[in-house]
Amino acid sequence: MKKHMPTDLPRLNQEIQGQLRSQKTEVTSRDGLFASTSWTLVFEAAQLQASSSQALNALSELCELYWRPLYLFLRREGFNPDAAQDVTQGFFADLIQNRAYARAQPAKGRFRSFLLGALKRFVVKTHKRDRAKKRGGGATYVPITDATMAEVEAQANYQDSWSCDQVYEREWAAALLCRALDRLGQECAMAGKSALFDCLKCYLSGTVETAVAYEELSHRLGRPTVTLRSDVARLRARYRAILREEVRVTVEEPSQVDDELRYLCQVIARISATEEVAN
Amino acid sequence: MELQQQSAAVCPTCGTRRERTSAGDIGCMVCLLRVGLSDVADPIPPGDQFGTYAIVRRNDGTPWELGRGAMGITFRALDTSLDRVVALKIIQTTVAWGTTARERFLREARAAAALRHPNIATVYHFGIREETGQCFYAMELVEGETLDMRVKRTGPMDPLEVIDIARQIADALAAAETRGLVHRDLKPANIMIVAGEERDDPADLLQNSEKQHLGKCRNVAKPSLPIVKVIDFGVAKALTEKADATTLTHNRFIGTPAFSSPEQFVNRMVDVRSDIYSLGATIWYLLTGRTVFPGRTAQDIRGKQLSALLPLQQLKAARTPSRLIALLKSMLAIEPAARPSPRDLALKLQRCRAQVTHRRQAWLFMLAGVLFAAVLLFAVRSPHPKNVSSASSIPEKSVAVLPFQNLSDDNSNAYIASGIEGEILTRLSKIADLKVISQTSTERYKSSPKNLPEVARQLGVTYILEGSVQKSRDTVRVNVQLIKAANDSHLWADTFDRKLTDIFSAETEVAKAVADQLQAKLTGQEEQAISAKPTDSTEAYDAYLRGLAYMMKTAITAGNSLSAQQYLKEAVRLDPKFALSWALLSLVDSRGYITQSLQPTLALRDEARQAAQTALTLQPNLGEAVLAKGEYHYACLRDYNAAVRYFEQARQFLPNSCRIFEFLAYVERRRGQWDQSESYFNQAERLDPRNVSLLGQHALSYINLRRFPEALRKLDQILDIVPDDVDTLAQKASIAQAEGDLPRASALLAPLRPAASDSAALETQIYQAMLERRPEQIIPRLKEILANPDPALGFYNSELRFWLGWAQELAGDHSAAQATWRQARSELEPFLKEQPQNYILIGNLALTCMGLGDKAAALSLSERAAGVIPTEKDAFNGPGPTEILSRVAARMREPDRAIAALQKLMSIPYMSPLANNVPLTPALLRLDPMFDPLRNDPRFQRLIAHQ
Repeated sequence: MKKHMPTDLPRLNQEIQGQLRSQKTEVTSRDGLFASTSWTLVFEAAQLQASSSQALNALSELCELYWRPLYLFLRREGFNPDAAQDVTQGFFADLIQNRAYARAQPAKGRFRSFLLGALKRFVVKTHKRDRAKKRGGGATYVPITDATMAEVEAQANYQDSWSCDQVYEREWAAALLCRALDRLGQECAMAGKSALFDCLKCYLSGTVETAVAYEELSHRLGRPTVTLRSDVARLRARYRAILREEVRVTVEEPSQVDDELRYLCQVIARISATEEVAN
Repeated sequence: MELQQQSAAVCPTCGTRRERTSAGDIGCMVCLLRVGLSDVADPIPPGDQFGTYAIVRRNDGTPWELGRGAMGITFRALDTSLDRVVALKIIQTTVAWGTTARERFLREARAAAALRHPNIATVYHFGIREETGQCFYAMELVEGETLDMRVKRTGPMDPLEVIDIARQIADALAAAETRGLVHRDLKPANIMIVAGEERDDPADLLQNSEKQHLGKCRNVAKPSLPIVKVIDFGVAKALTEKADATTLTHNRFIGTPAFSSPEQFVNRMVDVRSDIYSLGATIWYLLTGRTVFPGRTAQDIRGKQLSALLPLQQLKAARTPSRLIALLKSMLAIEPAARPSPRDLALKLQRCRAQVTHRRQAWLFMLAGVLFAAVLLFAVRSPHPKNVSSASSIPEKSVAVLPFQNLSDDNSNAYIASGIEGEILTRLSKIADLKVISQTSTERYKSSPKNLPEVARQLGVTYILEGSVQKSRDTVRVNVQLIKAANDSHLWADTFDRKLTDIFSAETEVAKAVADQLQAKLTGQEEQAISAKPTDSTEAYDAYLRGLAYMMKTAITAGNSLSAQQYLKEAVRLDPKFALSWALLSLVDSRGYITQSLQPTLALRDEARQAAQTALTLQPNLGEAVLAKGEYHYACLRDYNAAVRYFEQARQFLPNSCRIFEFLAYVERRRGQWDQSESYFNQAERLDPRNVSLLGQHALSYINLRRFPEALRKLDQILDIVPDDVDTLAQKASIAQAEGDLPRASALLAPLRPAASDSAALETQIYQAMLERRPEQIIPRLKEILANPDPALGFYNSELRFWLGWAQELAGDHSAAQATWRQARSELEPFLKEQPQNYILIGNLALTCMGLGDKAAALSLSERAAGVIPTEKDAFNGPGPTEILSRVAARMREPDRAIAALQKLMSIPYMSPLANNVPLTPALLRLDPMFDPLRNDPRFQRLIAHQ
């Protein structure tokens, strides 16, 4: 998994990108970013006359992370691939250029809900303004790679039995997990343990079926079972911390992390049940 | 391939479909999200109800889960309307949600509920929880264990028991067949076994006459059959609904591959014959403890089903009757048509049963008398069945530390792993709120055993701490993991990289983490004790760990004691303020003094005292120091009151140390408080159930009390742990001798070839030859040993020489005997100058003088030995010199003194100084040639006749 999906992201126009690049230098580390939540940063930015560079950084990072849920939501809404891509990128541009995030009210919802609500309003607004015109405002965008589009389109076709909101929320959860696993993988790579991570990541969920094959893995990796158990426990503890960090970014209070995780679990379980019935 | 995809499509834990997302295949999303939850262990929100059923929660607030599978999770629940406890199965959401799925579930549940049979767990109610759409059903709560659990707990089952179980399942399947129901997931985990009631079955093991006989006796349990209950008929499909024949599983595989029929793999229509196959696979598992075709994937198993022959040798190895093997072959036929129907099966099982019982009846007739006596004895002695480590008696806050794996390149660093393991265990044992099993009980297990639940059951603990240690130069890496044994789940794990000097911090952290995970409460004193850093010197700690490793060996041999003493002395030389090492040195010295594994000199005794005192001065609250002080008073001074005071004091600091109870048992034994001693032995064994040394001492107590059946049970317990142990087999032989059963003793001793250092076994063989009056058979062996005596054995070589002289005398070679005894005397006298208080040595010299005809010296030495260790001071060893005196007096024509001594001995328990420490019994008096001069004395004859 790749961090930040740098090449297959629908890029923002050059002007905005330049603005973000110059402002990103102020963010020195992830620790700095997570010292307060992105929600807080966005909210603070909204109170200021000029955009806070930290808030913009956080916003851009979140947009990078969540373009897929938004894009797939639009596809499920009936937008064709070109239109969905166009609206997604236009939405991001609007969010940043017009400081749409100034309307964000953390106390009333989570970033997930805010983003979807904002997208829905954006769609209505652009629809009224000019149905024929490109929804992104005519800005020049870097196109998404064909391979990425093919993959995302395959997913869009797969989800045709789900509701629009279900698609969005499921992809939101998937993006969260992907991000957490991605970060964990990077940490392991930095420690020179990529191969070990690749073998052990299937143990992270702690499901019954994966809890059996330590001995076999021990043979394969030439690593004692006791050490493997310890590796998995450490990996799992780190994964748990990262995942909570990732969720924490999108909620106002730390106490909401569990609720958000539970909500996403329920969403996926319901979708799974819907699938069962549909089959 | 299709199957693999299907089985991988549903998460076995939460039942959610596992599909690719745009982010790729990241496994089960729900489970991955749940890892982030702070309360992942609780699948049911508090206070939730399912209709009228409320999930019962354990004391810690967690839902009382009875089991889980691919279809759902089963909880213990209360029917609030009827106030009845039930098993509540909550179906996984993917199965339950949706209109079609709901209808299907309700239909299946109705079919299951309509099925009533004594061998099927009854379904009471089915429903849907509207808030969440979850389907559930309540069924009869079967209090027992699954066959899977049973096999894992006790190993493969007896064929007759398996047949009785199979007959009941066949009945259940026949009943289901009449309603067109198929189980589809019949396996050991879906079959419960509960204790049965008395029954009158003509095919019972015992003949009616025997049963009537037994029935007249009170407290004799009548034979009973275990009752079998098949659970989870909730997935059964009503075959009569042919329109939906393929929709039961949505083309998805249902079942457990290892027990599934070939037709289940290819999604063919299945009927009761599929269950017959599964029952065959289940029977196989019960008989052998293995699945018929093991495999990592369903495809592996499927492939073997089709291509491989049944591994019948497994059944033969399990002594499966031939008829049952033939029946299993037919049940496991690939083609359903070749399998028997449930009713045929029931008939054939009955024939198999007849074959087994017919063979056993002959054997039973032969043993009926013995059985009767044994049952009667058992009933009298054990009104309640013994179940030492039943799940219900295992405390939650209990942990065993298994031997740490040594991962260092250099094997000579193994002591580090052993030492760190010991230190962690020592720290844990200081926490009163925990039950901690001693190292002696755990050291025979592997570092990471495969059968963790069984190991935990044997040790009587809920949790296991595993670990590994790797030493590289002066750095040590310690890996530890705390595992809940019942489900092999990982509670906590961590790695510590430390300099050797800082290893204590890791040991402390591990102990604290374990206590924390087990929610043990620590007092301030306990916290202080487990955080203590014993030394700042790397070298001293290294030497200490080496000494500790020798100290913890099972056998107290001269080699182990000397090595332990050497390293501990080195440790305190390097760090004179190392209190723990001083304490351990004192313990080694004191133990060596009383067991004579170190030469019991005054210098040794003084060293033990000084070491204990130094440890206490350095660290007055060090439990080990207090224990050492107590051991010194017990072993070196025989000041039992002081010893007990110290042990009681040490118990405050070392609440989990079995050693305290063990020492208290020894003290009470020497005080003659045998019942109290036994109570302490029992307490020690609860903390250290597989400590063979402890078990051996407990057996010795029973031997001294002449409670031979109990002694034999303890000895058998030891042989379960260390099969073929020479000393234990010899001990059993010595009991046979004491009971006058020389052929049984001979049978036990014949295969043994003990070395000179196996003193107890060797002397039991020698004594056997004397009792059988065939001394010539032992003389060559004794001459062979004494031709090259081992100087390390000290005066024991001379003791063997006394035995040789006696054998020669008994064989009629008087002159050779005199020469041998003269040599023995010349060897023993110098030892006596060094060890004037050694009553065993004095006794050997007395017997040697007796052989030489030096009556005055022999009697004088006998009395001197008695004076060294008076019975009032030591009820355990004290009477030993009286036995020496009785022998000397008998041979020296002092019948009155001999008879008086024997009359006293026969009325008390004690440890004999001869052979294998068995006290004199009427049988031994009858057989022992040394008492021949008394045979015509009526008083002696009365002693022999006395039971």
